[in-house]
Amino acid sequence: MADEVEEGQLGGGLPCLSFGQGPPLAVFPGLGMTNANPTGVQLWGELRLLAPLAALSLFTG
Amino acid sequence: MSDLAEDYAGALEDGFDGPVDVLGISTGGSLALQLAADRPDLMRGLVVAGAACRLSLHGRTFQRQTARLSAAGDRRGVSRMQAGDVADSRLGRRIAGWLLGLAGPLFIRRDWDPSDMSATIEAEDAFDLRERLHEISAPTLVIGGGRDRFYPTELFRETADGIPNARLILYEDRAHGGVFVDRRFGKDVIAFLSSSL
Repeated sequence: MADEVEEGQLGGGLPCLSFGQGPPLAVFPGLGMTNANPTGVQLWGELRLLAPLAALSLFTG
Repeated sequence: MSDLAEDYAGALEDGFDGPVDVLGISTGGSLALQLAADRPDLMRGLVVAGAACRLSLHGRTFQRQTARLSAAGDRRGVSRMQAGDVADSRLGRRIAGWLLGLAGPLFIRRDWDPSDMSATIEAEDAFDLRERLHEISAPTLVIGGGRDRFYPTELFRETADGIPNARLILYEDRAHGGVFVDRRFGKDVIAFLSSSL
């Protein structure tokens, strides 16, 4: 799934990852180390967590 | 938490054409509840997972300790602390503690600035939405773990009972972190958002 992830920003400069397809779902994640988009192991963990929801278009900031 | 919710409100207004479904996970669930009360016009449906209208005493104590370790630059300590709530069994917690303590420096950079996290912890420490749950108009699903120490079952029930159009699903055998990796989780979220709105 990681190949399909797009990194961007929502309004106000909020970092955002988007992936999946279908109706949109805005995901507010749990407490992170920073407010920036996750990278490395943390990105892998977040994508693994949200993989079952890929029938929706996910926007996680 | 209202200030954080305002930032997210702006993002949703700019990023979507109309009300959107929102899934809030753990701390993100607190934020989602705040936003649902402050800006009901932005939200079509709401799923709150591993979160409730306020943290338990354990949760607040844990987060304050995390903030202290972060400020001291103790990356292993911050990482190891997660073990008590990511695994459902005693053995799992012991193994997770060992692995997380070992791995902390690998995924927390040496030059990490903990100020974002500390600000969020401070916001959640003061978060208590009990008096405003009735203002949430979005159809809501609360998903919680029966072994969650951040949010004991009575807090999940209090949250679902306080929101006019809400229901609760409990994964009885799950701790905080176990809720989101449960194989029922994705199915329950999708079923709720596709059928009940």
